[in-house]
Amino acid sequence: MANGPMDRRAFGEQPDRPSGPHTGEGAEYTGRYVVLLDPGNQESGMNVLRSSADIAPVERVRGTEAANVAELLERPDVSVLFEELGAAVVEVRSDQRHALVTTAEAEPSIIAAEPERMVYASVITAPQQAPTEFFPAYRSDEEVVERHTKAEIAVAQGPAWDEKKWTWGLQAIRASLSSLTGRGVKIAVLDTGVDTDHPDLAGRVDATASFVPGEAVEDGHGHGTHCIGTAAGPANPQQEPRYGVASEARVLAAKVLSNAGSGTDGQILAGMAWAVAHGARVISMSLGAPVRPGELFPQTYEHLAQRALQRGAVIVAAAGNDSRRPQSIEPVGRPANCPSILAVGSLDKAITPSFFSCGGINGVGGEVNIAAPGRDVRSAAPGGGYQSMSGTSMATPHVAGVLALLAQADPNASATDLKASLLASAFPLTQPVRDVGSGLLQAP
Amino acid sequence: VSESSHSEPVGVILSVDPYRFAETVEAARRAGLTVTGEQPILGTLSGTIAEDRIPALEAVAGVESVDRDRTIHLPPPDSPIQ
Repeated sequence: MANGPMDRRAFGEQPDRPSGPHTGEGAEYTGRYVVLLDPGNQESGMNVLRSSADIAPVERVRGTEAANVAELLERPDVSVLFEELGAAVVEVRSDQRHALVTTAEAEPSIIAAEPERMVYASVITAPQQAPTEFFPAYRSDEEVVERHTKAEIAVAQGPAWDEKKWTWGLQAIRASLSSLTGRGVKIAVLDTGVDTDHPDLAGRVDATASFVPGEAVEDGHGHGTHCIGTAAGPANPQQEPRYGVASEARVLAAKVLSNAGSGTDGQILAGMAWAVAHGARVISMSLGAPVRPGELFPQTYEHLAQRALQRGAVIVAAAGNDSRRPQSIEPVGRPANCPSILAVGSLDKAITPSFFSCGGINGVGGEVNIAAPGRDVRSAAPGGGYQSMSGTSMATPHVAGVLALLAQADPNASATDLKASLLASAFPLTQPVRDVGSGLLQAP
Repeated sequence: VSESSHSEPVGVILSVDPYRFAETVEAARRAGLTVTGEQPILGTLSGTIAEDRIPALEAVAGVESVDRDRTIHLPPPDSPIQ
């Protein structure tokens, strides 16, 4: 779908019209419709729109005449037909919109008709972006369009992310466009520890503690260093691309999983208490254990999460990697299945649920709350280098990083406020809520 | 002191009333819990107890929940999914 004919980039960037009727913070529509025509039979489509929906007279534009296009599009008395593209931007009176959509639907030479939206150049997943996925699409209800299509340009972008400067994950969540850094906000990462000598991370770690008997906080696995890098890696890593969300957040590294990757609930409780005592605003836990369908969340974690929230810390946890889509979708594991812990699902580069990502099978807390990049995620590796890893474990620290940005933006926000902001700012996706919750994580 | 018990000790995690943490932990000990970790700041603790004593532990005043302590396993570092 990347180069689909409805991709608004094909029409060139729409100039912002400060004096236009529909510009401004919340209004993303131009009032015009974009009509996709059967390329071999463009005349029929335009004729029927003229007779049935009374669209404004048509001006034809060929590629060489691009200079005039902006001006033409500005004119409310003119519809513009891009002959080479088989597409038109039509001016229609608001009382004729419904007629236009019904006509488009009935006319075989019209492939799609949708309200035109304002498009901004650099924003990959902006809500202003145009719908691209629903073909054929005939819509007069702009709210429906908006609700259903918000991140579709990201989908159109597909796996073809340019990761030279930024990882695909940072681009997808728009951390690459945020001026916030999480400065001074403490993120606790409960994991396999950290490579304290990693040039990107040394100096970023405020405190460390190991709750694994007989093991130092040094990361002998790689999982913890990777997660810490994603949450809080620096703005200028030793080697591009940039991979860390909250580049000036402070890291609290708690080792609760051994170098072999195992840990007990008791160790995790100890790590959480340590994190809260050290003033963490976010506790990131890329860990969990599978549960059975119908199994209730662990009460102890829920009580603890409520108390952590009261003390200002939001807890995020990996939804789990037990699904094998499409054959099986397994329930969100524990402790992510607690109502007061945010469960994070994983997305692929196409902004679709990763095949392994657990789903909201169990009720009462067992929902996926939000989804974030979790496939082929590049971050720091022990020994000073980098590696790519996949899993809901990799999605989780993206969310932790964004929470740190939100905490920086509003230092007086309670943990409950932060959670609410996070979920409200997520990008609705067309995939089931069961799999993506509120949608694609977005940086403020 | 707990009654003698023949069942194997198992790991548990508990949440207790944080406002009477110390007395609840003490009562939990008397119910047979061997405490291995305490987090008064969050009102939680971990420990081991004979499996057949869990109902008695749950009945202790101030104990809000008792869950079995489970071990979490990450895949090996070279596994494609983490």
